[in-house]
Amino acid sequence: MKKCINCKNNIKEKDIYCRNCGCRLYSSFHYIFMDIAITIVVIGLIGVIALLVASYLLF
Amino acid sequence: MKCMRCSAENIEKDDNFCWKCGHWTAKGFNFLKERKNVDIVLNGSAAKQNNRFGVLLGLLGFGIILFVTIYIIRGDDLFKPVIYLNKEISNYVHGYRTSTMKTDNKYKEVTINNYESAIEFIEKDFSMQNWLCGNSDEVSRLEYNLKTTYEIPSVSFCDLNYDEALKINNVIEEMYTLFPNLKGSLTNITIANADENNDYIAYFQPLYQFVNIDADINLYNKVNKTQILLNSYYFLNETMTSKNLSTVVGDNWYVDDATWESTIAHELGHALSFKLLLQENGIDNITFVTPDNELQIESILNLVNSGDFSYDLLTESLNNYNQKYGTSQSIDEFAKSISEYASVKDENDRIIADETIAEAVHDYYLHRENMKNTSAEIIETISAKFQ
Repeated sequence: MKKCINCKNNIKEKDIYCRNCGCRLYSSFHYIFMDIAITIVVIGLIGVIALLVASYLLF
Repeated sequence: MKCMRCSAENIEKDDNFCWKCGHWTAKGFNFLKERKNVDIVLNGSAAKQNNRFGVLLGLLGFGIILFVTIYIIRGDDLFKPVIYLNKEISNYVHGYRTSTMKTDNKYKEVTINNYESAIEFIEKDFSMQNWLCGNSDEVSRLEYNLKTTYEIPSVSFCDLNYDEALKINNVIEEMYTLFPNLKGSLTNITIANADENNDYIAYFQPLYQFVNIDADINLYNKVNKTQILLNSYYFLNETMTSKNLSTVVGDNWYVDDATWESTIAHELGHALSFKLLLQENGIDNITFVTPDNELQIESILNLVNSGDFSYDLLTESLNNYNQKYGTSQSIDEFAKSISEYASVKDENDRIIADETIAEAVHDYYLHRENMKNTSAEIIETISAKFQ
């Protein structure tokens, strides 16, 4: 049985909100996707700044 | 029990919140009265996780604004490190330096209303790619000088080093001085990647279909290029151009003293005979195609492909030569006296007169008055027709 990541209460199959603490329940895929997406965006930001620096240094 | 808000069934008496809409139940109302329970809901790991969506959106928004700002400041130069890396990877994969310029673009459904617009479009096709090149200001100046002085709409020495660009520039300048009729005969001279790396050193293409090639001529006018392509495999790679030309193509293939750069004079020889063909057929150029001239341009192309025009020129030169010197040379002997390349034959075992004429021009460029008599006769025939 799945547990709520907030309060560790048991979650039933079709539950959208935790019955105990009321937090919105997402699948683990959601959290993994968020982690990956944020990592990509941060790498992208660093990349853009690196591109800017490289364009001045090399050209 | 049912939820007070969404009427969801299966609410149990111990539930603090509705499983479907998250609204508190009667028990949940009491649950939230205690401060510590509110803290669990607001500051628990789920809440933190859920906030990450806001963090993602915020970062994304910031990233877009940052990128746009940097692009406004830096322009296309921002991507030069990427282009540079791309070039290095391409060079590594091919094993030699290649050009980043794409010379075989084709366009569809473009409205071109006159010759000037056609020329502008050809210029734009190359100028839009200029930012991919790592040209020095000196090379850019050479390009500009050739474009404006000799009416060549586009000249691109993309990634060519200055010394090589200068050598090529000098060949072109000298050829246009020797043969002023060359002016206006080309739409572009460009460094290009050949399909096979040693396909050609330089290549004159009288007609490259460029815009609206398969379109109905009554809907869209068409545009062709008349171009000289310089193979990047040779001209961008000093390991090739530092070798003697004859070590790569063989002895006697070209006229004596031929160099990598002088082969461009050979190609301009093709351009010259093509210009003469157009003149003899009462047409200025094959760049801008309309319903009025499409058939005429098609017949020009057929004439070029048959080689008959050049063969007639060659025969005329041969007859003049035999008369002048009291000889009875055959056309094969006449051509072979210039170079091996001048005497190549087609599948019907007929001399490819285009190459003979181009080699004669090549000979004249390299040797002037000291060129072979056979070359001189061809030059005389051509010059007379341009009068």
